Amino acid sequence: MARKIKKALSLVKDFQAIAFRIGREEYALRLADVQEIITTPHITRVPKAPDYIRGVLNLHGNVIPVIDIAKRFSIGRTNITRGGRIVVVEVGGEIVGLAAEVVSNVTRLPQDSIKPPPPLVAGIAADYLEGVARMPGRFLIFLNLARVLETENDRTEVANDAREAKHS
Amino acid sequence: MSIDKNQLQRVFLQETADLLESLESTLLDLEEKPKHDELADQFMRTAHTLKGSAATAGFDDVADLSHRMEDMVELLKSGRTSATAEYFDQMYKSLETLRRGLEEIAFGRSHSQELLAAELELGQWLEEMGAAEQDASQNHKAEGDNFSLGEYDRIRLKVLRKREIAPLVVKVDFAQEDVDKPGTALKVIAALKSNGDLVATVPPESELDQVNQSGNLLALFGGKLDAGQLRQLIEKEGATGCDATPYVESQNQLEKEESQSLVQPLLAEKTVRIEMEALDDLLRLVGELMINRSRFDQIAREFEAVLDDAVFSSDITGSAEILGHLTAELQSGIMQARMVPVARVFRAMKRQARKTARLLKGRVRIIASGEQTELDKKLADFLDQPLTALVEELIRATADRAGLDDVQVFRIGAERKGNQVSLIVEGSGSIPQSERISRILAAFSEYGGRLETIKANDSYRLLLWLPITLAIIPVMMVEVGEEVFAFPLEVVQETLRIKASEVSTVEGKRVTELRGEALSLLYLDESLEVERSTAGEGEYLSAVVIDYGSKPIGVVVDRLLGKKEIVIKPLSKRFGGVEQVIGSTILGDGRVALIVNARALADSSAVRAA
Repeated sequence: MARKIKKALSLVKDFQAIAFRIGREEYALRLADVQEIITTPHITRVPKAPDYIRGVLNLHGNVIPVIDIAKRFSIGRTNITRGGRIVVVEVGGEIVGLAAEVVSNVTRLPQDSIKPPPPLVAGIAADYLEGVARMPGRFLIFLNLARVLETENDRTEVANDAREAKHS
Repeated sequence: MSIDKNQLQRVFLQETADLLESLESTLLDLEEKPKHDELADQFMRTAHTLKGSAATAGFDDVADLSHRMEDMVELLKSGRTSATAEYFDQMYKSLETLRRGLEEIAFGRSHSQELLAAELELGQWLEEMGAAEQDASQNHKAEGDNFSLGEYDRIRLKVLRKREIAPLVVKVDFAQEDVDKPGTALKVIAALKSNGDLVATVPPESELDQVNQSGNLLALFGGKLDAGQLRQLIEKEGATGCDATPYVESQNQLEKEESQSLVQPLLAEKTVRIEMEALDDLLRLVGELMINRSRFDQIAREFEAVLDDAVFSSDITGSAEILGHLTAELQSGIMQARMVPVARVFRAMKRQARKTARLLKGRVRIIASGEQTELDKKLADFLDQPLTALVEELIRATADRAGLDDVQVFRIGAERKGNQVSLIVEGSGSIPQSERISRILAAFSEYGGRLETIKANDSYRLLLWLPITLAIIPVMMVEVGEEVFAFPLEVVQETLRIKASEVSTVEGKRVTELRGEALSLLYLDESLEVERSTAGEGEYLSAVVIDYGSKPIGVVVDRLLGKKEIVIKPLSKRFGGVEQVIGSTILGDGRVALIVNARALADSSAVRAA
């Protein structure tokens, strides 16, 4: 009986994650943070946009940007094909799509699986990451979405707001 | 007609938004021209209306505060208080409290405390300033109150007024030694009745023996007698004296009357209030309708190409055309419904100017024109924040540079030109520069806005061009490589087919000739970095000629796809906010097409007018 309860409790403390592959790495997000996953539709390129914005797409009548994480971390380039996937997430009140090559099945992980990352993981600075999780034969890199999608603008805005607050 | 309380309350809440706006607007004007009695009267009338309907709807706190504000302006008008900054501070503060109180009511929350506090504040002010005279008028009120008038009596008063006879309160005194005061009273009453209209008496005719205690009689009388004649008449009957003063209608009666008459018109209004969301939904549906309509067009064309049956295909194209017309009209109607005057934005700017000036201990005047110019509500809502920030920054920068000792005058205006509206901000001196100002101005270009700066000797002018609506615009669709782009029709002068052989290169720039003048060319595939599989064109090039300052520019594309009306889908500001792109739209096949900011394109490429 105690074992059953313990198992039930541990199930409750587990969480679900979705992993997607770009190049050789497997990135992961908590399932709760993912809005939906769609097959890559036509992507309209936006000229003169930063290189990690691969374009925009039509998601249920809304136009959302497509972000290439590999480009964002300057560690390569995601191969975007019509058969690929877009992981749709919401960050800072905005909906964006992350380009992925392959998306794995949903994985269940124990609560404490995510460990603090070493300073540099696969060429990515630690503050972009929530942590890493080791699984049999796999190494999942959990992204800190807010930091990943933070732009220069956001940083200057925050600094400006702080300055203004001091002056007024 | 029985009107239930809920209905009354709903109607009341709907109307208060307008009343509040009017109060604020009038207050701002009054501050600039405190001696203009019409403004004071207008404020008092509006406050009075608000008070009346609030009382009828059962919101006594709101009614009382409105009443006090009315009194405050009366104080100003009569000169018993002066138009100081503190006075207006207090008035704005009370107006804010009133607004908040009404908001609370609308949300079903309790509001009394704040409103009561505000009312007390005003009450104090009124006491200090207008104490003496207020007592006098209180007395009038007291006398007025003594008459308990029935419906019939009030109608008689109305009739008197219509005949331009001012009703009087006649106080008749009886001699001490008069042993038959009631008898004298009766005689006085009879005399009054035969010389005019006696509406009511205190004590009433049925209880005249009460004059034994009071020693006097109050009569509400209307007649064509002057004071002297009246006295003669009354003294003839044996009274010792009489005092006639104009009848001041007791407040309660006035309110009830006025608010009764207010409610009927309210319910018979020809306008309807509609939630912005509902309009947004309608607009979205129209957008979908338009997308589907173009699909229909496409299908109709495909049918035409395939079918041999001329009649059938012309039926389809005929219907498609009609559908097109209907959709266009529907869309136009909804767009029109979303238009609001820019006055609201101007009011917000004036408010901000006043606030900032007070903070910096200076004085600022804002002169507005073109307030009735209309634009899409979404646009107006968007403009609120950047424009008030702009006003604040301009004033601060001016203060930094030159101090605010003199009254700084700013002019703001709005003008409609076709599908665009231009907002003008004018100030004296040289243009104030600051990082914040630059940022605010940059924000406008996101919405397809264009900024023009005009400097004169001792003044500057900021001209902000904006599309009238953010929602739907007519565009010229073009194709480059495999991608589709849209040019807002606003900037398109015409379209051209140019012979490839007629393009020459002058100092590294390509030009052609258009009606005797040189036309600079810009190749869209180059400036947007679009990959093209077929590098070599045929004999002819297609180009869209766009306005660009004094000289137009020809934008060379692969194919012209024709004019269309599209729904603008904004691009994310954080990602993909690119200067050359105003927004995007969704095509019939589900793909996203970008709307090109032609001017920014020309700016950023090396093409300048030849």
